[in-house]
Amino acid sequence: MRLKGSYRFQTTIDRVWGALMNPQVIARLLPGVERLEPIGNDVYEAEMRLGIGPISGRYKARITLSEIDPPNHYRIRIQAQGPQGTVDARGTIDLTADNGETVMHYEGEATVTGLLMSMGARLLEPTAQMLVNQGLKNLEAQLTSS
Amino acid sequence: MATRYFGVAMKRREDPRFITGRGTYVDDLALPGLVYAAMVRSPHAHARIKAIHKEKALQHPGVIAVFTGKDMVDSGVKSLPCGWLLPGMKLPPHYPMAVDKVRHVGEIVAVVIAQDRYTAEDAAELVEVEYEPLPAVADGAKALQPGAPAVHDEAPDNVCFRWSIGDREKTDEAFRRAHRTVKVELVNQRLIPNAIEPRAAMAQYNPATDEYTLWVTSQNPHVHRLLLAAFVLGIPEHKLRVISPDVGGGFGSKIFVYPEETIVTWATKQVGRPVKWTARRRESFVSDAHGRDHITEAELAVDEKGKILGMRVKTIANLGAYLSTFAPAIPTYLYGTLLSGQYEIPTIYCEVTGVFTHTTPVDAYRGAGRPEATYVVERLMDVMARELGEDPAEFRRKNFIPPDKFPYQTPVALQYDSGNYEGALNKALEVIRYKELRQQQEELRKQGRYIGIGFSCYIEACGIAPSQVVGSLGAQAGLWESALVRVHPTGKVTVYTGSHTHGQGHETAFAQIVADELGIPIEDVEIIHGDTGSVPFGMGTYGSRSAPVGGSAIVLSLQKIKEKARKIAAHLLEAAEEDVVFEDGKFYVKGVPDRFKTFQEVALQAYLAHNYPPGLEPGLEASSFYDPKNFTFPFGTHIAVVDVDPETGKVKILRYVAVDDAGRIINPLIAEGQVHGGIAQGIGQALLEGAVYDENAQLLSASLLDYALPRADDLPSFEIDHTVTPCPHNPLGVKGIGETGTIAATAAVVNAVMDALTPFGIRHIDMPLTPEKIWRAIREARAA
Repeated sequence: MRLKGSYRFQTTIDRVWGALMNPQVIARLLPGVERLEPIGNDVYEAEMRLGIGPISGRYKARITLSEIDPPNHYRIRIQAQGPQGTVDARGTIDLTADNGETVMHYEGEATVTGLLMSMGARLLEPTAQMLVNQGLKNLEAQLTSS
Repeated sequence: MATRYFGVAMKRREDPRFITGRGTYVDDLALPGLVYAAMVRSPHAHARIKAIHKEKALQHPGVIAVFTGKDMVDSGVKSLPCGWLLPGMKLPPHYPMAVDKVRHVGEIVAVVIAQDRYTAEDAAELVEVEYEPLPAVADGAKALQPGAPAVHDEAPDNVCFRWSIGDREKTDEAFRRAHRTVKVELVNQRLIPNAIEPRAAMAQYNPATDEYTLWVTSQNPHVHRLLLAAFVLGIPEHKLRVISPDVGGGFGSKIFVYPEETIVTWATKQVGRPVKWTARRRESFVSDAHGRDHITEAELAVDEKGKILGMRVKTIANLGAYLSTFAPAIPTYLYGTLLSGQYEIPTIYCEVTGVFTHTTPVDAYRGAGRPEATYVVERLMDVMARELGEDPAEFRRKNFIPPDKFPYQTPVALQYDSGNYEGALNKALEVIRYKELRQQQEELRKQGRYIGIGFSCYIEACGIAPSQVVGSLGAQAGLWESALVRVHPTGKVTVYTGSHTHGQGHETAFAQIVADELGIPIEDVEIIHGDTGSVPFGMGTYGSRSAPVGGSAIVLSLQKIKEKARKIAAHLLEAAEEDVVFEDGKFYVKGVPDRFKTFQEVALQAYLAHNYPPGLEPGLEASSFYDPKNFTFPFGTHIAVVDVDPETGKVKILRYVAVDDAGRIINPLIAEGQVHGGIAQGIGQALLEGAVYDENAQLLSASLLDYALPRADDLPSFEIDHTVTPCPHNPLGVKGIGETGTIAATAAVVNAVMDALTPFGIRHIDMPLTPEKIWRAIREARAA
């Protein structure tokens, strides 16, 4: 499964970067996160509730950030394991300042196994894309209102 | 023999109990103290197991035990055996639960046993397995490429075996001097059997007698008992009773010894309670042995007159992650040997590479090797006919083995005992009104409608035999069949057959044979099967063997019964044995039919033994083991007529004519039902079905949402007919009809679609012929 896209925030790059490095913000951005705690340098443990149609379950995830280059770039890896399968996602986030606004490019690839894949394959990509779009909109609303 | 029943289209005696919900399937059974098993299955196609944490599952209320592969192996459980060995074949171990690595999605890593099924399933989700995912490969050809991830250390190149049949040099030589050659590349896609009843197993251990009983959805309970007892679990064979009660369809998928029945039989002793497991449909998709999955390159050579000179075939057969019970036999001895089809082909050479991949194991599925062979032969015949500009029916006719050449020795080991191929073709052409149909096709093309006519002139080999020969080819068992006929004092008869019915209607067809032979009402005959506790050792049902092999064994026992009964009757009639005639259930002295003893009177005297021939043992029962002299060779011609919509690519089957020759037909209603079901499955493969794995060997078509089984509205009304060429070497003259439909239909439908697409210059599209694939092919052809 591949995800790729860009998003324009109507706020400065520093504010966007600050938000993206804040665990509590990430928790709201990622789909289904119920708990997220740092367990080391740039490593977080999360509990996520993921579901596509009838296939849903609680997943334990490890989120690792690397190649951190403030305020422009980082790499994220999410390894989640649950009763219905596993997700191993790797992606990059790149920010560019543009006239006081910020353009985000994101790109990622996920390996999905188990029932999540066998039953949900056709729905995975559109569902993930929808969730990401929703998360980004929420983030922007939060950044511009505060 | 009077034939009051043989050949009569009787309704099946077993159906009232099935259609009123009174069948007894494994999942219907319950025992006091019964507990339930749920399997923890791998979500990965290939991974190292780093750790399995049972604690949370064990703490779950209602959970009795959690076991892993290590627990089983530590207690002495062995690998599941493979029942057919080829020279030089790699045979990596296959434990009922993975021990160190998982090698396909759905492989079992742990079992949870709990008070009820729901608790077991819930707790299975609480078993935490730490995996280290490894690269995986699902495609047979990709698995052979250098650097492909190896499934087993024992086979670093993923090659399980390389096998060949025929004369390579002679075949190459035939191609060198050929007038014309054609080559096709064919994918015979992987299919997932979907018996309506999922697999199930229930086991009970009795500590008082040290005996086990296993109820299992098996097509061959004795084979299950032998393999489980002697090879896997180390239970003395006489301490394990295997019962296979009503079974709702098998199509081959219930032949094999699977991990699940092994696990419950082992676990029942561990927990001291009877244990049951029933597959969910989702589990069936990843754990029932799959079928087909060949990638083939095939060539045909002809001379100036269009007579075939030779055939060359190269096949990659995907075997999956482990060798299922009969896996090596299917793409070799049940495939390569059938490549002569109905044709006189002077030389054939076929090589097959059996390959391990990170997928569910592949084994026999209705037809088992023979549909794959027929697809190769019949596609080649059509492609060559088109290349030569000849009519596909006439090109076939020209190359048929003529009726006066039987017995016919093919260049690929089989010796056909009988056949009249032109007879079946002519009848099919007549039924379909071929000439008119071709004219109609021409006219419709002018109007922009594309109909196509497809042929499949198939040969089948049923009742694989004799035992000595199959043993020399690698079978680890004989392929005879047993029958015990027990006549009770009142003349009622119970027949214990070693074959097994799971939809074939044995309880009716076999009773028809018995009632006729003994001249008694069919109501007086009971057919018992599927219980190692009462039935003599038998080989079970697969490969369309029940009528030719199982039925023949019954006939042998009936002959023994009649011989003994005649002795008793002669004594009662005070006549010489050779003067006594048996007719319509009555014994009388030749020429004096009014003075007779009925079969029932003789049966009673056999048990009373009051007025009895001196020296003769009392009682009236006989058992037989029938080992056939050869395979039987059903054949026929199937013709499909399709309409392809060039705008949407949708195929509609307008007509389907099947003319089969299965020898003498015991029950035409049952035979016709078998043909219908077989054609439906063949059409399913041609147009709809296919297992799809992604690049990480995840099965994507893993439910009935994504795996398209044919439905009633996908199928036309079938036009069924027969020719009758009796089998010359078994006492009934029967051949077998259970697989003819699947063997023939796939090629007939694909040939019909390609015939329809001829005006576009499209030569071949791989199955399933979905509207999308056809639409794309038409679009590309139009653009070119």
